[in-house]
Amino acid sequence: MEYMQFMLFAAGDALIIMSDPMRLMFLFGGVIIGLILGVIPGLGGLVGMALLLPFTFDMDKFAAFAFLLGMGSVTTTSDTIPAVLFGVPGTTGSAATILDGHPMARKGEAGRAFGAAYTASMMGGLFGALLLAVSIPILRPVMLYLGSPELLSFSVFGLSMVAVLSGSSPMRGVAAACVGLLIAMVGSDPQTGTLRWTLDSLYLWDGLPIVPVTIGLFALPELADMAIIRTSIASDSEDADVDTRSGQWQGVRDTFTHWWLVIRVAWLGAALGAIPGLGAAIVDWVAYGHAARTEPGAAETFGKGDVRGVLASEGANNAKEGGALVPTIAFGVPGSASMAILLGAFLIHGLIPGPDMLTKHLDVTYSMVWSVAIANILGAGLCFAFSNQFAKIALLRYTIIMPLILAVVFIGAFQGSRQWGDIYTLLVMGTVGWTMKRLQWPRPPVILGFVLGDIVERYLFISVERYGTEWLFPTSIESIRYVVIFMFLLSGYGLMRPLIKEWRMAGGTIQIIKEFGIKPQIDMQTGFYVLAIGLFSWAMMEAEAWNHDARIVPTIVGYFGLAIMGVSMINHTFRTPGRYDDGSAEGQVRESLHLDLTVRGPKMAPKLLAFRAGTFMLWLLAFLLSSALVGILFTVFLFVVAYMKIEGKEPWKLTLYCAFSLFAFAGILFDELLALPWPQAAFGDFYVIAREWGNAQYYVWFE
Amino acid sequence: MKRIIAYTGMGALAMGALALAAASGAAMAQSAKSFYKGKRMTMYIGYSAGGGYDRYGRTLGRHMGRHIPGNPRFTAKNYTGAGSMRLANSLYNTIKQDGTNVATFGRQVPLEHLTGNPKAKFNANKFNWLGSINQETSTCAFWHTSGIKTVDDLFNKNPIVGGTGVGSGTDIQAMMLNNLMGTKLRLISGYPGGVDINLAMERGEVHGRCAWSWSSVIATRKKWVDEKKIVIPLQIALFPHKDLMHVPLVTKYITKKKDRQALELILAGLVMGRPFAVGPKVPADRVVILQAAFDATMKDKKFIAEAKKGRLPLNPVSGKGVQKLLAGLYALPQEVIDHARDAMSKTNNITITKAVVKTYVHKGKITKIKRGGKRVSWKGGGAKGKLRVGGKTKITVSGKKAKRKALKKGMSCTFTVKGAQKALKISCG
Repeated sequence: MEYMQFMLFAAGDALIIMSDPMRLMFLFGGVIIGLILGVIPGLGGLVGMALLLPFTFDMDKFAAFAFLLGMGSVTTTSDTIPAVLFGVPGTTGSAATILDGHPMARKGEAGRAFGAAYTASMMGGLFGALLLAVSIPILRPVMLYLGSPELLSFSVFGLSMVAVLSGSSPMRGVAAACVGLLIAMVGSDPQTGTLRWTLDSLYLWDGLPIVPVTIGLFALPELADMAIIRTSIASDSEDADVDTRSGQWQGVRDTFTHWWLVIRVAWLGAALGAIPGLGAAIVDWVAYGHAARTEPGAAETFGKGDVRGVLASEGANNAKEGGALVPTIAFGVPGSASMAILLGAFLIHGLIPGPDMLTKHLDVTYSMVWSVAIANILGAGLCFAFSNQFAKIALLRYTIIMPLILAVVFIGAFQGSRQWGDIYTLLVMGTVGWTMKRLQWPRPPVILGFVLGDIVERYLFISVERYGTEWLFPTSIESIRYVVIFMFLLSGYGLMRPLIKEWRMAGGTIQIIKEFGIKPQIDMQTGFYVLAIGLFSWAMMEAEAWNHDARIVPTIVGYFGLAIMGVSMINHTFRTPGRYDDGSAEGQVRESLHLDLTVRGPKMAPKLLAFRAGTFMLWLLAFLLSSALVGILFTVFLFVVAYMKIEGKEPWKLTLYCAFSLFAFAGILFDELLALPWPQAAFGDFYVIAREWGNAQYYVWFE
Repeated sequence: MKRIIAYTGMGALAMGALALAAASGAAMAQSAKSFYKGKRMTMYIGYSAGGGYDRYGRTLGRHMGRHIPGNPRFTAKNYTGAGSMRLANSLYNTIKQDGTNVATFGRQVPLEHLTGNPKAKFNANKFNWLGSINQETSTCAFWHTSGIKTVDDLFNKNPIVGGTGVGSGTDIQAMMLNNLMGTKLRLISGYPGGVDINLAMERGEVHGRCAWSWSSVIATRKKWVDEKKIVIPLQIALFPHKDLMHVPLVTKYITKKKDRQALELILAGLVMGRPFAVGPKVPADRVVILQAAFDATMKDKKFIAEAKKGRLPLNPVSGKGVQKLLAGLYALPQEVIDHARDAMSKTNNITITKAVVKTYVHKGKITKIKRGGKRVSWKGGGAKGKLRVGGKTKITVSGKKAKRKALKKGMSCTFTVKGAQKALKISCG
């Protein structure tokens, strides 16, 4: 009781400390920077922390944390804007927002999606902060209870969400997750140092970075289809003049109608955010999966523009910031990559994470809670004020939007690990993503597998090495790990449920067997299966040469994936009526659920489709080639001009205006502020040459 | 009229060409001192933003320009990949070597080439070294409830130490201690980072860890030392740290000449704890300027104050010092280099996980056969058991090679078994 009082006092003190105008100003500044970083694909809290940390050296500690946390808390508020408008996730945390947010924009409901997303973001952020505030006294014992087996069980639970996110094609979903897991295992293996599938290239040593993978998988396919269908984003809406203002209020009302969902996902987001290494990239998917499983009628409407999908993803991803602070403050173990940089700020201001933060420096801890809370309110408010303008972008011609977004996507992907390989990763994952989208294979499982693969393997090894099998099959009462058993049971149930449901809906085993015929059905899907099976087989052959420890997990995943892929292929090829596997059952025999974006617009002649897709690919390759010749930044300028003139026949004045604005913006942001190390270009990087020449002239003439 | 314009144009071009030639001539003749005036320098950092190398690199970049004639400004660029080896490769081969590009990479990276990593495309001895900001002293630390208190415990109590993966300091030092010093550490590796091992230590999952630099202990966990939450039984360096005079030094236990030389090679990375270099083809006069600037920065009051504020320990080594150290290492006989490499990577002296599985020989009769000979039960000599017969199990019946299908119930056989169930050899009468 006494401690409660002490806590309340500390929280009150912290609020008074935070109400200092100077500190509020820094908080406000941080929020604005965070909002800008959130909108730009590839940039987010991590980049912001690195960028701002040096500026905090001379601030007092409260102002410093207000500045950094203000920035970090709101990147996931504004990242909704590109996700909804273009299907391009602003940060990796908003990938799940696309599934329902982008279809809403197509229907002309961008304003509503924004209203719902901002309100949910704010509520999520506040709940995250609240969780942090109330859990402070019990933080340490809980965290000390969680060992490697527990961390493993949480990751496995995350993986089990694949079952929900695959909709009514569970086999394809599991196969896609296996693909993600295998991609995650590319690189130098931490256990033995074996180089797995690195194709003899240094780029792949550290494994693939998440930014180009996510952007490639989700953003490029959306842009490709925009170029193929050749319409503005809101083309599905009949009303040409979209009233975004009233839409926004509708969105706010939606959030309060579904308040219980928002609270649930907020707690989920905060709790997952608190688990080191797990949070950042998957909370939105887990929350989305949770909503899809529990909300009534979700099966019919999710993935087609249901506002609840947006609420789930956005409520959760803002809550994770408060959660991620938990292990950072209590143990100095960063809950996410950006928290690792925040730890640097702790050191500079003479704070040591650990017990002191809960006693001696409780005021600092609570000032952080307030910073997160206030930043979320400010961020949502600012977004509300400006998003009317943003929502109108959805009405613009594709020839204006496309080159601008595409250029930013390229540089954003390069931010992944700042290597030329990032661009290749973007293009390869883009091709894979587009094919999957066209053939209705669910993409979310790939991301889940990719993010969790590394963690699962890591903690599986540590658990086995340290505890043998004792952690899984305890031999005495004391060694029972209840959390592990509970999470495993929950995951198992989650994985089996859709399979059982599908089996029942199909009318039992006998009915399913009856549906098999002899006449094979060969189409584009068959080609995809053959390619995928071939790739898996190659991967398994490569793995033969590795030593046991490096091979064991990839081999299990690989052969399992192969088996699933094989069964799924037989299912597709020989099973005819009531085919539920790909969701395009003839005559809608059975209801199908596809939790991913689908291709919109009228059916197109295959020749025209191939021609337009090929043209788009050529544009991408042209960007690549030009970057290799004259540097990425100068290519941005050339690309915008060329695209707008050749594809769109836009007037010169508008073209040059767009091209030059983007060029200048990219130059200032990526070269001056972020100091990207541009890759070597064959004829030299024109931008760098010009900059150095200008620099030299400045000294010649002015000094 | 046209002609006049054409001539004027050509004249202008010629004038321009002359001017350019003159300018470039002047550039050639310009001394190294004025070279840096108005230039933009780049501080390449081989790791992502926020970590130790990044903070050292950025802090140096903010102050070093003041000590170079012409006061150029530094821009820091994070150039990541392959544990910073990509940067070392690029600095050696592709990054412009005009003396405007300085780089810092992992302290173990210079040794990669020496120990024969084919992916290391550089000769560490040929870099122009500016120096290292800090020398590190590593410690092995154990949690106070682990029961590991002295060096003897490292030999006798099989302590569990955490590691962050192959090639990392935590793993290398654990293996080196087992191989050269003969300790019996049990390494559990794969933790995402050092702080994760600290947490695992606190919750009792591991007993302790090695390769924890003393500067980092003080910067991040001083309280653990003050409250005696951790015990430090051993320090790992060539010379003792002034704070750790009472802690035994690893060199005391490694006395054989070959072992000692290997140890010195492995610990070289600690001496150049935060190394800075420029490419091998940078003009010598510019290298001299940069080396002098580095040394001057180390004595700069503003730099020292900022490092102190950012909790970055300073214990600099000059460029000449690093150069000398590397020259010494490159002069070592191949035998010593191989010995060092083995000491860092050989796991046969280390108990990782798998217990040694013994092989037993049983004699008896087959009592049951299942799955076409894949499972065989036997009884005899007061014992019985069940065996797994695999494709590689050698089977002989009446002295002749046979397949597992040939095994029949009631046969009298000798079973050679690895562990409990795996049959290596079955020979029946």
